[in-house]
Amino acid sequence: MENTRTGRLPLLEASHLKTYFPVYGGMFSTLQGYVHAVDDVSLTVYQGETLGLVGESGCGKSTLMQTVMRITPAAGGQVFFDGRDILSLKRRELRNLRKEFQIIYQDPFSSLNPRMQVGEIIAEPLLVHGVRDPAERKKRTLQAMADVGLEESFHDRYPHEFSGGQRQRISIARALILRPKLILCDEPVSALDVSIQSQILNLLKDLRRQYGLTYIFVSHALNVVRYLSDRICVMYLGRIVEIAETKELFARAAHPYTQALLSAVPVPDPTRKRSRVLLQGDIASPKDLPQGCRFHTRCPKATDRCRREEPELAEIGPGHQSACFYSGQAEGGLS
Amino acid sequence: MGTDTILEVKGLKTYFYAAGGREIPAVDGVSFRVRRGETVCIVGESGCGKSVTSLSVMRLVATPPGRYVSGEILFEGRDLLRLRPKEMRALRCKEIAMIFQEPMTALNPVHRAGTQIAEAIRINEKLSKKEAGAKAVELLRMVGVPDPERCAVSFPHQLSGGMRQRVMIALAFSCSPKLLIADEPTTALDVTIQAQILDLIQTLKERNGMTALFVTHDLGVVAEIAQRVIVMYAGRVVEDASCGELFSNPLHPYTSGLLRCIPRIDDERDTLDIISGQVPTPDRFPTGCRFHPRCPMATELCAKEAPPLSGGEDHRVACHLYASKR
Repeated sequence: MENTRTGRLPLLEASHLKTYFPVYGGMFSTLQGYVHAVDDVSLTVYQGETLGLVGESGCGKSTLMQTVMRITPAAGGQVFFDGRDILSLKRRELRNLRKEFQIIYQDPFSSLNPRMQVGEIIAEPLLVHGVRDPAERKKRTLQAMADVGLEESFHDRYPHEFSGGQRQRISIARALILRPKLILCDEPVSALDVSIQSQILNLLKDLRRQYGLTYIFVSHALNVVRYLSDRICVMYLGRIVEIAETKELFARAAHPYTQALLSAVPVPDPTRKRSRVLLQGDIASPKDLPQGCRFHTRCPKATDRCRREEPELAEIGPGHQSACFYSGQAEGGLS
Repeated sequence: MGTDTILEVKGLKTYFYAAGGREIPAVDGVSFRVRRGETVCIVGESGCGKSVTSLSVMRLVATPPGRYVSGEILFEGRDLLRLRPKEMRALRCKEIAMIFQEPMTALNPVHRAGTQIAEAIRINEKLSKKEAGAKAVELLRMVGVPDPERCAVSFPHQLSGGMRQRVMIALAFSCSPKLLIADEPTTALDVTIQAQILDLIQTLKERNGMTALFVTHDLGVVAEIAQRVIVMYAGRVVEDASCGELFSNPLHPYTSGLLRCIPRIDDERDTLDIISGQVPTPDRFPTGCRFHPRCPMATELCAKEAPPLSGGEDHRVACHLYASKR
């Protein structure tokens, strides 16, 4: 399906994706129910765009990424990557396709094998995907290292010798070496110092331009997501509550949760006093979902209808969808 | 020292000694002043010594491997570094209380939340267990816990991150301290919960006429709550100014670089400015001005000589660029 408005082709399409985790408890560890980590999520990522995925801890954004990559098995739904259904592929076919989508993890301290040298870490995907010639591997490794701004002399050193920012560059080089079409970034800068974050964000932006990459960028930091994303998708308790282009979302956030989220982000400018939407209470447990709209327990605008019915994601403007009965009525952006 | 100063840190040096006698100058000559009723923020990146500074004020740095090498920490005129452990213990909680970053590790996992608060109350007040327990429930209600009776009998692992942090706050407020030290109190929390907690701390602080010393790495949080900001880099104070002044007129190249490199929720830049290089670790601080290897304006002098913190009461900066102008 071509997006008629932007004229871009979809690279990844997830439809009605569900990921449930069983919960065992009680004296005999019997099945108590399921955590609905991702609950009926449909999502399209277009070629060459960066889709930001935001939400608070436990909203299912990382699980969604892992399900899309088939690292975590899905309970239902389909994921099409370049027209092929990832969830029904055989092992070998899946491995072949994995060349096309790579992941960068949050914590560069636990995602690199401490006993491998930097060069080996970066070259490992080549080995997995059958590049047998050592000279070729070395050449491509050095190229990837140059792309991410790592010196050649780092090739034979170990991860512990590097700081967080440098390690994240190693992770990026490893993700990049197979020349994938899609890179999933799972909170790639949230473990880094502020002055290092901007280096990595600029690098990701440059690489996207250079290699025509598509990113799915998962983060809880809205400022970071805004900087990098073309479109933003907001999740709450396993569901998408709002999707819009970045500018549109920041100018006209329609869902009360998005509005609260935007108003809660501290802005480094003391002269800017904003009216805050302070939410009451905590996120409900995904194990024990509230009836009706999942957000109604914290929503300042909840009505009886919200407690009974669950709103569907509905188009409220060009490319702008929101899952709230009242999203047409109240508008709130960053003001 | 005027009567309006509640805390004054003068030339504090807290060093750590690694195996083999290697000296790690985590906090290296830090001086600042906190006025009564103010909210002061210490900001900086990892390894800049902001947490060790706040732990030093509480005298909670483990010695060894740490040592308070020199300096004074004057709290209402008394030097905390010279107090005996018993005197210091009497001061903690009653006069100075602390909220830690990770409430899960700061709370005792095998005691119920209410019991832990009641214990703190009973150390400072002569109350029966029952009375202290009732007061704990009251405190939990004050910090906005929805069902305080149930929370009081819960263990920390049964509570969410935001609730745990509220328990920590109730604990810190249990003896109505004069000075509250909060070390990254909201870093582990989601933004909507962070907004709730910051709001709560501000309200309680104003109601009780308290002074607060916040440690954070988030300049957004600083802009929201601080009256005065102390910027630290590599164990030293590089800039010290009122909040408005710091954000509108940052003098130190590190401060201005930091402000420019943060992506903001309210702007649309195509590329971010960057501070090149890496954050130095405390065992490998550079000579001279410790920021000079990353500084775009560094001169030869910067590599040789450390600039002193100088300037007026409202705005002090440690940078050679401004030395000649004064």
